[in-house]
Amino acid sequence: MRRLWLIGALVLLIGPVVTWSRFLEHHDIRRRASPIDAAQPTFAAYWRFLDEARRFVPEGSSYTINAANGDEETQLFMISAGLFGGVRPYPATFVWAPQPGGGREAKYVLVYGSAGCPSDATMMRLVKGGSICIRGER
Amino acid sequence: MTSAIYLLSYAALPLFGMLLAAHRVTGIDSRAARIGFAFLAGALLLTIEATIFSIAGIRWNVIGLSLPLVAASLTVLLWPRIPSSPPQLAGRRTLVATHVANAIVLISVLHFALSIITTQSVSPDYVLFWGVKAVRFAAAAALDPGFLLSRFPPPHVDYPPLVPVVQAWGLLFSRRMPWITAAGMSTVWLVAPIPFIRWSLERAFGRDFAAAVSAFWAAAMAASFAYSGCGGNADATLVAYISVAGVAIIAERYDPRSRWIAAAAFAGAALTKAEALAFIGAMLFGIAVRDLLRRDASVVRRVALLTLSTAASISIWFGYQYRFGLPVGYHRFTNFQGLLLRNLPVILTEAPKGLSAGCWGMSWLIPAAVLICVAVRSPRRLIDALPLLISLPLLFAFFAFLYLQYTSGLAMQMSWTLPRVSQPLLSLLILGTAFASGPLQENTGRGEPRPGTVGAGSLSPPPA
Repeated sequence: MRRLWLIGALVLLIGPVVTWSRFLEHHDIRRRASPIDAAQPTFAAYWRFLDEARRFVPEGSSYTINAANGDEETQLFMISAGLFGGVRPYPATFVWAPQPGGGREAKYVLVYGSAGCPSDATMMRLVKGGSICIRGER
Repeated sequence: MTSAIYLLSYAALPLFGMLLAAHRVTGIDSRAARIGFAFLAGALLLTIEATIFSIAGIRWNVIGLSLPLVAASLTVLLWPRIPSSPPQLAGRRTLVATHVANAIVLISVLHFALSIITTQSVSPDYVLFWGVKAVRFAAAAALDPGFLLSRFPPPHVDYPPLVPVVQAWGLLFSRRMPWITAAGMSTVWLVAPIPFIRWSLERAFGRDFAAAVSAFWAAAMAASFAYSGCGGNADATLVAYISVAGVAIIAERYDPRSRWIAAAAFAGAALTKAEALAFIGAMLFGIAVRDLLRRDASVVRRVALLTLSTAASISIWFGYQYRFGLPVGYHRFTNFQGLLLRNLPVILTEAPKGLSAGCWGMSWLIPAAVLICVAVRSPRRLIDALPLLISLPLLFAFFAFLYLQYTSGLAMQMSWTLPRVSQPLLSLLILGTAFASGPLQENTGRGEPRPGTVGAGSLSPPPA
């Protein structure tokens, strides 16, 4: 019986061998920019954009996120909660529901997937994946 | 540097957990098993303490959280120690088999760890809410009710706090969140139960069998965790607690002190994920059935102890919810509006994919085949393992009941949830089968059976 369990355990290692050989066909071993680079490329793109944008949004300020659709805005906002601690959130969309005000109270507008800014904000910086816009002092 | 500091912070958890792991009440006489269980117990005690601090309005810091737990552990550690079992001399065959088993465990652990570090197996939930909560709790030095009650809370504010608390503990040291390293620490939840499982099986069946089963368990769970993307979420944690509880429940037959280990593990599971209550309920039912079949009069006392420990730990979380005006309890995740039988073909098609567990389902099929053999040859041997095995039909029926209610998107839901929600069952299948199939002979491969143990599968009563 012991031998059966041991052989069984060796058989189970075939799965990981196949997984790694497939992974290494398409990826290399390197330091990753986001924790979900290989698992969820779409989320990883969101993460990289937010992580880069975070460096330009000061503590105690406020931010909103604009994207192509409510789904993207929802996911981006959820991920941003872990990166934008200390910054007041005004999501344009929260859990797939457009929010009253649409995030117009926020000083910083993080625009994902576009180099443009809303009409009431000016371009502050282009980052990979989008742009950071700033509204006048309130 | 941030990653290294974060990583080192986890070394404190076994020290906290020594309060239970080194105590005579649990009676763990293997150093490795004691450390493994101490990690699980330490995470549980830290979570209880951190939640009570938050309820009382005491802000977290490393010294404030450490001092009570270290002081309590020291009182146990400085007490006359439980002697560690001496190393056993082993024959050549034993050595080879043990080395092969150890190598399989090492490869399996590396597989899961590297899968996370290369970001193949990090859960999206980690960046959506598990890790988010950890960052915000550490920043607020509390289970921050302001964040959970804010206009824009994270998803699943009702989920119990153990995983975010443990992740936040590391952040109290490192200050900045090393996101990949913190997710990588899920590997510790795979490693921690292994020595305990091995020690428990070794007491009943001897070293060779214990090593082989532990290797199989590690390979199966690592493949499943990596495949299902369990880095950074609570799945590996839940499996760790449920597995230790399951093993301890069966080992109670050989050592009554194991019931305290099972009680602590249930308490940990209850503070890890909401669905833990379903697994605990099924296992308690299994205990009741087993004890009734054995005509064991202590069934009520046994079930009551395990129910109480679960209720006590979850009450702390519900107490926190009550204290800060959060909805007390868990959100319902379905509103029963009837069963849709048209879902049945989808369930039957998707289930094999969901149970592939990163190895084409071999981790299910091999123990299932062994179990069938045992059931055919000596069905009475299944009785001892009933608390673990009975959970499988009960919970698969429960999953089917839930899946039959989906009005749309069932295939996608199953592909996302089934690989993860079935992991504790996979673990219970492996461990239950191991206990039912272990060698019956008294000679267990490591000389004479240890005093206080009985031959596996023996239905004779445990020694007084």
